[in-house]
Amino acid sequence: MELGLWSSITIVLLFSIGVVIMDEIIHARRRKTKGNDGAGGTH
Amino acid sequence: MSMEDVSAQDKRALYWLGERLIDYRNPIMILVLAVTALFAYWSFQLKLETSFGDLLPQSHPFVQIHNKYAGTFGGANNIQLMVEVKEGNIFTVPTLARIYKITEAVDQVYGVNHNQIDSIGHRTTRYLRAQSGGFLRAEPVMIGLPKTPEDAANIRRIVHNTESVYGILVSLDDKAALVRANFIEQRLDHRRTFTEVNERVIAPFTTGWIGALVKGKDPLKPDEVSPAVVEVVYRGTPAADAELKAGDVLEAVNGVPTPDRVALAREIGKYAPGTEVSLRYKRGTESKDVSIKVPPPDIEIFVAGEPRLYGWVYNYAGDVFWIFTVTWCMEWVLRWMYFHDWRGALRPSLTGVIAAFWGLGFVHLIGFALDPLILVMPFLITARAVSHAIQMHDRYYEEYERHNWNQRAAIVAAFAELFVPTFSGILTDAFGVLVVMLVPIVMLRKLAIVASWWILAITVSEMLLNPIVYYYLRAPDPDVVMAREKGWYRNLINRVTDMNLSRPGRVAVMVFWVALTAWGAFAMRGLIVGDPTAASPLVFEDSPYNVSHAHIQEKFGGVEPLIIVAEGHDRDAMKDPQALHTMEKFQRYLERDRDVGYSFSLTDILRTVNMVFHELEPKWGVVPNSVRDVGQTFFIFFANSPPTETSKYVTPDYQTAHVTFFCRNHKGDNIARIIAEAQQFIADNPMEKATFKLAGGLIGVLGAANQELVRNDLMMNALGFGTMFIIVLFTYRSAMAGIILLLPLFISNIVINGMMATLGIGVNINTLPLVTVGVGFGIDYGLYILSRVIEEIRVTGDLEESIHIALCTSGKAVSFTAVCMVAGTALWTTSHIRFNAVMGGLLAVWMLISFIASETLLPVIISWFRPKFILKEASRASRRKGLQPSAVAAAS
Repeated sequence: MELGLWSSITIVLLFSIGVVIMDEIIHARRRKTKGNDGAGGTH
Repeated sequence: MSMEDVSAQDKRALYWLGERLIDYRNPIMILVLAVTALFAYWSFQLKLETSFGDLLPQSHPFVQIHNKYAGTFGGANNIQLMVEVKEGNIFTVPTLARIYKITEAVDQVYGVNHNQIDSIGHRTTRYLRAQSGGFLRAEPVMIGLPKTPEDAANIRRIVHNTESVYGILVSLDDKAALVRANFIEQRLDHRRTFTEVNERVIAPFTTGWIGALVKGKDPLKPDEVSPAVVEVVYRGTPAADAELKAGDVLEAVNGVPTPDRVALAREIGKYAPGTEVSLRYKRGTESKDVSIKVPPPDIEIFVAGEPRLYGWVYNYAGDVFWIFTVTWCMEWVLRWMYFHDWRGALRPSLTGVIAAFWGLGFVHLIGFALDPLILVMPFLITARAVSHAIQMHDRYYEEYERHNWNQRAAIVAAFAELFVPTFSGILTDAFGVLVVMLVPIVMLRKLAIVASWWILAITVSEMLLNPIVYYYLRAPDPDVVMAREKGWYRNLINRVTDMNLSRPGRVAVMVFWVALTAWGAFAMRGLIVGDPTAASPLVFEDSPYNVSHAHIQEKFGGVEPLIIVAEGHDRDAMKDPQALHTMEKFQRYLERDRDVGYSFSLTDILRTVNMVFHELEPKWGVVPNSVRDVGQTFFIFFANSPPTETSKYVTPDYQTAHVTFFCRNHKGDNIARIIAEAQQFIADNPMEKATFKLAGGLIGVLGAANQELVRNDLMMNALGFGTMFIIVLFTYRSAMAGIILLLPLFISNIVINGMMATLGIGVNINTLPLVTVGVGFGIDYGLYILSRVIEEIRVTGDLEESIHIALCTSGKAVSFTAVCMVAGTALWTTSHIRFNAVMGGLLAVWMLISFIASETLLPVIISWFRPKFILKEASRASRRKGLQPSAVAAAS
């Protein structure tokens, strides 16, 4: 399959945005889990 | 003032500079982004282009002769197109008609010099015909399309009796005919030539052939659409079975409109032989559909020559987008896995993209275009930019932890502490590559300037903009920073460092590198300047180009021209029998070389004419002995030809002619040998009225380029290493620093040269810039490690401990940058362009060897020699209080 300049740029941009979103989701979950663990400890 | 004071002052200045960059972040950022936007705009104007003149050393005497006579006697940009029948011989009406039409189609390809086409179907290929009354006339071998088997038989008789045609333009087994065309260098457009040859010359007569000649575009009305009109229908073909007639307009294939001959051939070519297709044609005002069976092609067309080769290279150049996409995504994943944070993936990309815009924009600005054969170079430079950014990002996280999660302090500390290795790394890379300018080849000089600028542009993104970007990006979670110091990668680095610095480890390291160096030194003796194989190294051995090239060479002996000019001192010098005898002697002398297929000169015409004039008696097949007889013989042959036709043999004033040797290949050592033999003959056989001048044609100009590379290679290496030594000398104010950093690099260089010789990669104008960039890039790893050793010894006061910490901290980041660089560069091995695949692989191995040398050999050398410029820093040891990072703790 032929891949041109603009389709190539679109793919890398979408991929990068995907990585950023995925990373934020992972860290948000981790913070949430850590927060819950911490809250559990105070009770 | 002592050196220690100077060093402390420098460091303070760098911390001050880091603070000011953050203070004045807005104007700096606006300025950098505005200039980057401008360069980005220019980047998108860039085109892929190869300027043939730029590839030649213009000051070389061979190239000057080539330039002077290329328009007259032919240049280096020829295509050879071989038409071969699968069964029988070429002397049938349909095949000869197609050869005639193919020649016509070649003549119409953009950039072809219309007076420099050799083919039995071209007006300039003539034979002598004896007429009644004793007159002799030189007439074209084919004056028009053959119509009957008698016409074909007559052409066969002419070919077999014409020395300058049989075996040269028609193979000795009568199965193939050669069409040679020379291109005007200033009008070379490789992409266009490639497409036009495929669509107009090959397809209509092979995969698109249905047994009828179809009219093409009117050369006098090139912009008008010319419908596909049947010109001649041949018996026993699908076209005849379908009862097509001359004048029928072929409108559509299976309902798809075919507005012209090219579209018709394209549509027919889509179907496999034996497939039934519906063909709509218009006869008069009536349109009709007939069914025809696509026939298997009865002829094959093979095309070789430099314009065709570059056409294939351009055809494959689209690989770059796949490689870019996969590299980007892979590097993002790798960086995310290493830093556990998207900021770590993004920041190096910003550096790479900004540097790339500055670099590519500059390429356009200086009026340079990108050659598809140097596409690995931008990737390599961008990978280097990304590597510097990874080092900086890793250091930023380390300083963030060290400075109790104070973002601003961490940014400034990372900037100040890495300023020296980053900046000197960039300088060594940038100035190291500038030595390529020594070679007087315009392309290499432009490339050296561009690469140098591009590398220097890394300073803008990496040093000027970097602290500002960090300031705006939210600081990472402490967990993310701490996570870097855990896990298998950290454990692996610690374990390898321990092994490397143990006593048996050090001995093993030394033995390994001594053995590898010895192998490299032994293997590099086979390194060839020029191309090391007969096939083109630019594309793979089994690629359509190399298959065609090999097949043409096999059928016709040799097709790569070496043009040696016999430059007369005065007009009519080429009528002098002594000069002509010497030219003939020259032909016989050089034809003895195993790689010279055959030769051609004016004397071949004279001998043939003389023989025909004397009733074909072989004893008269000699050069006449008097000026008068020579002049008369020339008159017989050239009398009916315009000067534009005859000038490809001799200038109209008979002052200058040429001897052309058609060589079997352009291997570097063969070119050198053939040229040496030619020079020896010329020295031993002076002519009274003329002088032989070397050399035009592909072999001549490649010989010139190879000679320049040999002349400058040693000097370039010496200056390259010298430049890097001086920069390191200024950076560390020690000659010893230069020696210990350049030693691993020198060894890597020997090993790579050995590998090039083993893998059959020659030094030529394409490999040279990549190899030179590779030399410079290898030093960066060492700079980061050495700087960290110096930095740590100021804290710990102990050399061994400092080396250990340096390898576990900067060494870890170096190992990760090496992984990224090697993986990114190695992806080029998937390219369809063999040259890019091989160079990508080679540079990946180079980066790997340089990295391993920096991580193993460099620390062992430092530990062994205990250089004074490092040890003196121990006196300033004062352990950092309360800021011991986990990295140092892990290392110790």
